This record gives sequence, C-alpha cells and structure tokens, in this order.
Amino acid sequence: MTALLLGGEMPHWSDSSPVRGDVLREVLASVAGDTLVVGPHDPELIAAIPARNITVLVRGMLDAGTGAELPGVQVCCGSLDKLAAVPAYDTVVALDGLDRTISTEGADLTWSESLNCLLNVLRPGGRLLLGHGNPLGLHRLYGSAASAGDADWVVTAADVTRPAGLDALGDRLRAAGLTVSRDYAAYPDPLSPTVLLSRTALADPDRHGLLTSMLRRAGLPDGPLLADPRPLAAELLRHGLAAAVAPSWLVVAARPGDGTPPPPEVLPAVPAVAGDCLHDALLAAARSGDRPAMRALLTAWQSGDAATVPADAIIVAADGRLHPLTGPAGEPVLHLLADALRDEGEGDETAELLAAMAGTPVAPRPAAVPQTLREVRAAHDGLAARVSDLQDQLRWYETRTAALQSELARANRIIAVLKGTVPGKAAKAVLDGARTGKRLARAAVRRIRR
Amino acid sequence: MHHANHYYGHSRVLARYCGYEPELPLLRGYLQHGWNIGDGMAPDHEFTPGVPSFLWSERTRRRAWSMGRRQLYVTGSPWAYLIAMEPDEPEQREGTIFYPFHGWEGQHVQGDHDRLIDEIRDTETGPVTVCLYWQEYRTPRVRSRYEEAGFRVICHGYRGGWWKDLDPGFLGRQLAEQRRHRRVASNRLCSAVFYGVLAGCEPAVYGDPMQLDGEQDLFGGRGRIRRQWASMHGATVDLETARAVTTEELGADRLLSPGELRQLLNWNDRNGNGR
Repeated sequence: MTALLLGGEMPHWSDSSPVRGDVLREVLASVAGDTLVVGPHDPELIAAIPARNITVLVRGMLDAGTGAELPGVQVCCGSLDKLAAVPAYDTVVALDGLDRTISTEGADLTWSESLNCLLNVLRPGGRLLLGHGNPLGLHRLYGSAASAGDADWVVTAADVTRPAGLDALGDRLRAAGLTVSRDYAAYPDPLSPTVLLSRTALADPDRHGLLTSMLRRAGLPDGPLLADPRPLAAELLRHGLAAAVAPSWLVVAARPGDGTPPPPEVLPAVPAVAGDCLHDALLAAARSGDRPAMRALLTAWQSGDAATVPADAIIVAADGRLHPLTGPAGEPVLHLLADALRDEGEGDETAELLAAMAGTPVAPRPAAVPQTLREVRAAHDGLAARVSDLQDQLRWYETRTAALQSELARANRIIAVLKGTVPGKAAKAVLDGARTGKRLARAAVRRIRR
Repeated sequence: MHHANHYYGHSRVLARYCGYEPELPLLRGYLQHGWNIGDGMAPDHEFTPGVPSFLWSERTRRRAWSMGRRQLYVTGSPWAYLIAMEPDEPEQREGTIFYPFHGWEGQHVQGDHDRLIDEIRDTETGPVTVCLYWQEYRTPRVRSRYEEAGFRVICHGYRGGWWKDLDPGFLGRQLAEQRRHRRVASNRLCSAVFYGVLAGCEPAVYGDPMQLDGEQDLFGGRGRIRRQWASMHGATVDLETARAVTTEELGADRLLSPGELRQLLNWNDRNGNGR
C-alpha cells in the first residue's frame, strides 16, 4: 500500500533504530479495534498487533517505504500536527514515546501538545499505550558522553511540559481524563527493553528477590558503558528507586469505558516465588566475610539440579530450597559468579576457589571480553600490574646475569693463567688423555652392542 | 572561497552590510545562494570537512543537520540584508513581475510557453513584466514569444560563474524592478517569489510548472513543495501568511549584527584577495 503523505514528512530521513523487543510484543497482544501506531516501531512489533485495521505514522519517507510493505497496514508519513484531529482510533500505540514524532519540517510541538494530538484521535473507551524515555535513567547515568547525532537537530531538554518521572506522567494522563491501568519501569534500554516491571510489583517486598533476578538478567543498555549497572538491582528495589531510574517507562491508559483487562504486572511472565536471589545471597555472604554461609550456599547450588543455572536466575526460598527460573547457562556459572564478585568489589575470588568451596570440579575459563569502561579499566590495571611485576623480574635477572658473567670472566682468566704453568700443562695432558680413553671406550661398547 | 558564494553578488551584499565596500574580503565557508528544500546547497555542491555553511533559515539548518552536515550557521539571506539596507521608498507600484521557471547553465526546460502565456493573460489584470533567465533572454525564440504576447521582457543580468563576470549589481537591479510591481508571480515557488514578498509585492504561484530535461524530484520535489508550502500557491494567496512564511524562509527574522557576521565569515582579520 502506498504511504499517505500528510505534510511535514522528511524526504531523506529514517529512524534507523526503532523501538523493538519480544516483551513489547506481549504488551501489544491485547491491542484491539482501529489502531494507530505513532513513531518508529520495529516491523515485527507492528506485525504482532492482532487488530485488523492498523495505521502507522512515521516522519521519515524511507521508513514509510518499509512500512508500506506490511500487509494490511496503512502508512502515513508526516508530522504529528498534520494528523486529522478526529477520534478515529480505539487504540493508539506510541511505545517509542513522542520525541521521535517531531519533524524538521513541522512545528516545534511541546511534549504536551504532541500528547494532545494523540488524545484527539482516541475514541471514548479507547486505549493509549505510551512510552516515555527517562533522561536520568541508569543507561544515561552509566553511559559515556556521546556527541550529538543527526537526530539531534534541536534539543528538547528544556521542555517543561515533559513529565519528569512516572508519577508526573500518570498525573498528566489522569488530568486528561484517562485511567492508568498499568505503569511499567522498562529495563535495560529504552529502545529494546527486555523486562517490564509494574509499580504494583515493584512495591511488593515479597517479590524483591524475583524482580532483582529479573533486573540482573535484563541485560545491558546499548552503547559504551562506564560500568555494569546490574549490581545495583537489589539496592534499587530496596530503596524503592527502580522506577525512578528506569531507562524508560511505559503506561497503559484508557478513556472511561475500556473493558479490556490490563497486561500482566510483570513481563515476561515468571512464576511467583518468594525468596532471595541466590546471586545476592552469595554476595551478601561474601561481603560480610561469612565463609560458612557462602560455602553452604555454593554447595547446595553446585550439588543440586540447578548446578548449571546461573546464580542470578535462582531464587532461594525461606526453607533453603532453590528455584531455578531459567535453564542452564551457556557459560560456566562459577566463572560468571567469580567475575561478578570481583566486579562488585569483593576481593580476588576465583572460580577455582569457589569450586573448591563447593567441592566440585571447575570448568575451563572462557575468554572474557570487557564490556564496560570499568571492566576495560580493570583489565588495563591488571595488565599494568603484570607488566610492572615482569619489569621487576627482568631487572633481577639482568643484575643476576651481569653478576654471573663477571664471575665467569674471572674464572676464565684464572684458567688461562693456570694453563701457562707446568702443573697446568700436565693437568691438560691428563685431561686430553682421559677424553681420548672415553671416546675409545664408547666406540668399543657400540661395537659389542652390534 | 566557493564560486557559488558570489552568485548574484550575494557576498558583495554581506560585505557592504559589514562595512567593506567596495573591496570583497575572502569569505570562509559556503553561502546558501538560493531557496531550496534540501540542505541549503545545490545538489552537486561539494563539501570540504571543517568548512562552515551559512544558511538562510533555521528550518534549513535543522534539515541540513539531520542530513549529517555540521558547522551550520543561520545568517539569514543576503536579500534580507539588502532589504534592511535599502528601506522601501514609496513608489508607484503597478502590474505583475512574472518569473517563468528556468533551468540553470546546461539545463533545458520542457514546457509549453504559449500555454503559460495564456494563463498569465487570464490571471493578471495589470501590465506584465516577464523576467527571463539570461540563457532564455538570449534565446530569440523564447524571448520573442513573450514580447509578442505584449509583455515587457527583462533580464536581471548574469549571476556570474567561477569568479568571472561577477555582477555585484544583480540583486540591486532585481529589488528596484520588484518594487515597481504590485505583484510577483511564477509558475514554481522559487527564490524570486520570496524575494518579491519581502520587497512588498503580493505573491502568486500558478501555471504549468514545466520541467527540466531528466529532472529528478530530489527531497520530495515539486509534490512536497506544493504540500509543505501550500499557502504560497494559487493565483491569489493570503498576504499575511505569505509574509510570515517568507520571513522564515529568507531568515529575515534571523539577521545578525555586522559584528557577528564579520566574526562568522572570518572577516575580522581581513587577508582576502577579492575572492
């Protein structure tokens, strides 16, 4: 289907990294009725929408061309303010947020004006699925400085209408007459979240172990990182900050009259198990120097069925039973744990030592590639220390060699002097005779052996 | 620095604004020399990394940035500086100055001049001046058609090329001509129409838009121009809207002080040799 040009379209443009990911597909599973998708979304996400009538609005002509290939999808290209303000949709999907709907050719809409454009097209009883990036998200706090890209032709940081936080986002939607049925913190990356945790779930202390495990396993944000943000997971939950520093948020809100049940509180779906994350239990034992507790946990883990499941994917129940949440890891789990303990500042644990504590053999160490600036720095520091050690050793060998050489030279001089004396000559004749005798004897032995 | 900087005497206008008349200092950078819907420069313009571009409007700056260009500065158009330096003298305005769409050096236009002449006759009520590009002005076949139609036929001059035959008086002549007319019109939205609006004319865009041999619609081409600048099209358009659009496109609201401009164009430390 040919794209419909609304005006304000950018002829040369493509938003080359659209929002994507399986977990978003699960959110879209309940989308129904006439649906408008606004902003850059991965074609796989659009294909996953079960609704029959789908309209997609993008700003770049190159993306309009790609979207037009999707069967049954009407693609519109242009800026948000060119969208006819008619309530024509039962669902409006803007998982990427509103920032990438602004065009170089269109008006400078504030965040709030852009939201109004979406609300204007939403029918009574209609639903809005809205993403919202967090400029103070962990991905930014732990990210390295990046220069402005081609998409940063104008910086909207000072837009005071942009909700600062999940609370403000919910308030803004409620003020517009919508009911918020779900508000998620999305990790680890705004463009490709793998975990969605609702605020209801985050507020439940019984689920902290489970959610810590999910956050630890959510993966890393895209791009160069200063350090691995995952070690913060448990503390973020304990301090009630997991929503505040989430890389992005996602809300499901509706006009009165919406009868569709909200999506699950936690995505992807996990069994409800109360307890601590084994990784954090081991970390706590290591930090407090409680070697017996650490040994007991390691032994229980490594001697049971979950021995190949990583520690961050296991919940330790109050009765001590281990509940694995995933299958075996692709990498040796003790090495993963040892690396994490070192990265999280707990001394020089090695996989070999952990294996010895658990009473199990250790797998060979996989080649590690540093992923964060901190890991690169650690690798660099380790190398620098090794080079320094080797330089010291080299200096010792140089000194030692010089000493040996001077001793050898002195010995040679003594030998030369001794050779010139009568007893010296006699001694040489005896030695030469002895050598000849030895040769004759060897030849005789060889002949006898034949 | 770039030969296109001197087209139509653009750099001369800026030099005058900065107080460097009659000498022409070296301009370090690329100066947008015509209204366009891309990054402000001609499609075949070469870019040397690290050399700044001086653009007419904020919209063009944003577009150029999104296309990967950097070191972009919005200066406003030389025409807007000229208007600022030459306040409108009350003069009797009459009739329409019409700019038929033209090709540039080496390009040829396909279109029906006779049909365009009929459309101009049907639309305009007062006397008509037709301003031809120098190539067409020198082609008797084209020129005589407009003359035979009873139009006054003029040419603003040669825009200049490769630092030769530069015409510092081009824009001045154009301004004087436009200020004699009540309306400015063309069969395509172009620099001349925007210039006319800033010079106090009522604009109109109508008639067979014609096309160039092998013309490619870059950046959305004619279709996009009609959609995005719809308010500039028609035999009569809303004057207030047209003035607002023109102010934005020519950067008339973005003019710099002579001091700022000297700083940006590297004219504070003059070592130019006239290029």
